[in-house]
Amino acid sequence: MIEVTKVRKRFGRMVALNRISMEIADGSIYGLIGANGAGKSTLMRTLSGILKPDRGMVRLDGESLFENTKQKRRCFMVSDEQYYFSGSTPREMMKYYAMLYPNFDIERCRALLSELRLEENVRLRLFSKGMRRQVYMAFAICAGTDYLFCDEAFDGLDPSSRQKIKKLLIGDVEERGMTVVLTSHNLQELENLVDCVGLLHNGALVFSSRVDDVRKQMQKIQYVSESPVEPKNLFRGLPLVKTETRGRLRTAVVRGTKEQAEACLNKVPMLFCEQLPLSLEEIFLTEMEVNGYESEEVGI
Amino acid sequence: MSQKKLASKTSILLRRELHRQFPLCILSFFVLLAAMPGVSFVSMQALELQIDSLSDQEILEELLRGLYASSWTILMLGLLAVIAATTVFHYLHVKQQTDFYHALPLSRWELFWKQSLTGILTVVPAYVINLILLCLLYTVKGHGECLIVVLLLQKTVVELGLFAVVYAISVLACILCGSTLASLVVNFGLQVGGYALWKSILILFQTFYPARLLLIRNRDMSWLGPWKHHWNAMRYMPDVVGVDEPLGIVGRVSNGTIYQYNNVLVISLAYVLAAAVLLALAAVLYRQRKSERTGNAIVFRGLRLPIKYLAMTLCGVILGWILLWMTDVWVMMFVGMAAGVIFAQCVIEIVFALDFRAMFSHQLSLWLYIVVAAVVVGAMHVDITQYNVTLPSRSEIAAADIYSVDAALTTREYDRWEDSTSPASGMTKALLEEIEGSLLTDSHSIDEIYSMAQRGVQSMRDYRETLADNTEYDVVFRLKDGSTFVRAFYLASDDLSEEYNVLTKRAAEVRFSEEYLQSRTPAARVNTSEVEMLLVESSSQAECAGDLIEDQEAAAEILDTLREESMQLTVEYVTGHPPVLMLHTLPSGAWEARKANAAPGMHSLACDSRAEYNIPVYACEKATIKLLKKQGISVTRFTTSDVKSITLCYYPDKVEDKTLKNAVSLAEDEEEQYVTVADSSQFDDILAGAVASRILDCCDPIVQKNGVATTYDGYLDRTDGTIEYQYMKDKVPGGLQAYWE
Repeated sequence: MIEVTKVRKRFGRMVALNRISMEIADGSIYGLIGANGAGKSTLMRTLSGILKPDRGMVRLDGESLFENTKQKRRCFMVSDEQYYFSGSTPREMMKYYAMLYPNFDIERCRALLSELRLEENVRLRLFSKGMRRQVYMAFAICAGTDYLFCDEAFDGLDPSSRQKIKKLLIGDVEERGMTVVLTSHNLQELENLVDCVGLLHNGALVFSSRVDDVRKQMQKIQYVSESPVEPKNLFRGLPLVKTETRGRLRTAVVRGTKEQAEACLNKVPMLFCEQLPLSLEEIFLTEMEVNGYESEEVGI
Repeated sequence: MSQKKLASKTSILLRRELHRQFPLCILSFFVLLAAMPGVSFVSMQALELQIDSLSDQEILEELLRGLYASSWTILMLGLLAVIAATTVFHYLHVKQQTDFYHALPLSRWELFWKQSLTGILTVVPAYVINLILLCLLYTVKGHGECLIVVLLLQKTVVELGLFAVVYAISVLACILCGSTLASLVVNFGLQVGGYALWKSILILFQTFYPARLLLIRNRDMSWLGPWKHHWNAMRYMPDVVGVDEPLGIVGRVSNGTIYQYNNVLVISLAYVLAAAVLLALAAVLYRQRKSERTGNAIVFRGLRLPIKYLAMTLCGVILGWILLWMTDVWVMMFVGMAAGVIFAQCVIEIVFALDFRAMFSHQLSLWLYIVVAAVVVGAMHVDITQYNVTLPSRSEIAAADIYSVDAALTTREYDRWEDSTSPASGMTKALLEEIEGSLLTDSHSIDEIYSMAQRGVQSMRDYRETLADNTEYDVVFRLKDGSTFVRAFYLASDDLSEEYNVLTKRAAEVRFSEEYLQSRTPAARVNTSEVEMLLVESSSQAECAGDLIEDQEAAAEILDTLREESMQLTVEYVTGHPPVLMLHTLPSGAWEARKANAAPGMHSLACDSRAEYNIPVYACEKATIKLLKKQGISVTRFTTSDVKSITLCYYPDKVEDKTLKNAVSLAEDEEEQYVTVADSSQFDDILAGAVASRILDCCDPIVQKNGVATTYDGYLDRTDGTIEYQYMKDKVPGGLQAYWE
């Protein structure tokens, strides 16, 4: 488990991280989102042991991470602008990482690069941004570490590559319980991937919770009633988060359990009624409002 | 991970890193190839072209110098040290690379030492290979005798010692700074900063406190700053020299000459130690270094202000000194200081922020500095402590002495190391200790010296901004409480001759005191038991010719007699009478050495060893002359019977003697003038106003008694230069054709 306890980080007068506390359970995929300058990269660099918190602590299974090579061997960091040795090829970088990470699977990495149609003996500087990103994600997955930190993991990836990488991440998480922390400023990228989400704004963690937990407490329902009924009347007693009307088709997002929502629906004769999955964006909008933020405010 | 695995991993990483830095290894190899075998090869070719004009010894010296004291090697090693350190630690100046390395499962210690070793290993093997190639070159060219194992090992220590310390300083600069530009600037500052800061402080002190005695080593300070010292050492090769008295480990060549490294070897070992300490400091700082500061000019915030203030101090002092040197006006010095401080502030802020618009930021720190500096400099300007004008009271003084490079002002004994024409080079630590250990205690002497000091204080009080630099005399007092008081005084530049005459008269009084005559003159100090022979020179002989007394007992008797008789000499007598003979004492082996070095028929009067003295004999020392006559040496009186003409050199504004005034035409300017007098009826009158001040003057030049060629003419321990006058004759007693018509 990753425990972040009241971490504070300043760059000069600017507070990049302001008393952040959170826990990331093992075997989960945590999505960290926020606008530009929210502190995502800073938090990632702190989690991966690059930066030392000014106050507070980052612990990995109870041990501090900074300057702890034993724990750092269990972590792999992919930065938003990843560095590679000048003139090096994926093969050379692979060998370099293999020296440092005891569980690095070179063969798997070579197979993965082949699957992604990436030449291992071509110089990395000749690759496009997206290709380099794929190479590094391949390294990250094949490093065999318990923890993986990816800053802007899918930046520059085409939809097809993005799906492949997501699949690989999920596979490793399921297979060996790897914990992944991803950042993004784009909710769509993290759709159907993350188990937990956290929102950073101005260096503070606005909220952090499991996606499933939020989904259990919120329902999105689309309906067409025999006689027009406004959602606020239909779901009386349940907090209404969002509504949308297109002709007779009405869509409502309400807080409450599934049973509570069904109970409300049963009171009125319906021509059509369907429960839709909530998107990450909708979840966030809801949570931000609860916490007193407008969506424009946090840049999502 | 076990220790063994850790070591294995580290060595693999090191190999990988070296592999990555292979281009740097190639660069080092070719640079040192050019600087070591390359330069030597070219030098050898040049020597081969000059083979007919150079002796074997000279060729050998050149080859040895090229091998053991190569300034090119030093320079290239220093540059490679900077390049290597900046290259391997460049990642600390790029955020991407810093994040990459610091995310790896490597501790900062491991990272630091891996990178440091990489930098060293990109240069040192190239050096070793080129050293081997250099030795091969010498062997192939037939100069294998120059390859002395002991000296080669020492050469390695000397050269790699400099490399080590320059490398360590460069690593430290890379860690202190967050950008490569800033690290190069800070690196330069650290490499020469100590030297520059020390020099600038001394400049300030010397300007405001001229009474503070400045030792010779502090005037040069080549021992501060690795580059300066090694550059001097290699350029002038003072250390790898042929010596008679070897110290420590030496190398001998086939002709028996001994060569060794001296001070620079010891200092190089100190550099290796310093490099280790600096690298350890760098490692500690690296561990503390915050990754997020990459990109900032100075990573450690606490260093920004000290670095800025250091740069401002240096710029201020240097610019102030330059303006003072150009204008000789103190006000301009202050203007220069202010300008230098402001300029440095602007430049440093630009470098820190990497933005020209930042040049006027942090004004508070600038004004704070200016206020503090103004207070400090102001206090020095007004001499708030009265350092320059303080003297102990006469009653407190138990012993005293004066030292000056001007023989007329000094009351020290004649330095037997010097020949008759070379002045002393200034106060050294050893000389000061020697002086302090043997001061004059005679009350009258102390009074005279105290008066000279009081004149000096007056000059300091009235003319501190315009002192005549080349008129320094250093006063040493030992007080009754056992402490020592030392000051350097100067003459006021606008009143030179009157001051000077007064001071020289006082110094002459001391030099004829009983205490001085008993202990300080060459006659008093010569150790008779060390003298094997006496070389006696008289006026009838050619310059540098003489008679040899080889009877040791006779020589001892002559010297003992002369010592007693010299106690009777007075200022008045010596001022009016030249020496009639000059004795040169020769210890064992000195005569043979002179014969080996001197041109045939010529013998130098220069003193080459500590037991050699030049001792004048005057006409009144009759017992001595009698003993010399027994040895077949006669005194030839100086006459003008064979004189055809006399050529005088004089300074018109200094001529006082009436006869001479009649003889010469007084031009209005102050420049040196020459006049030839051929009228023999004037000779006696002219010569009455002239007294030969040394033996050479007897047979050749004559000095006017009150002339200013040198205005001292008393009892000269050293026969220093008054060779301003030409004596023309048509008969030549010896090898002086060049001087005669």
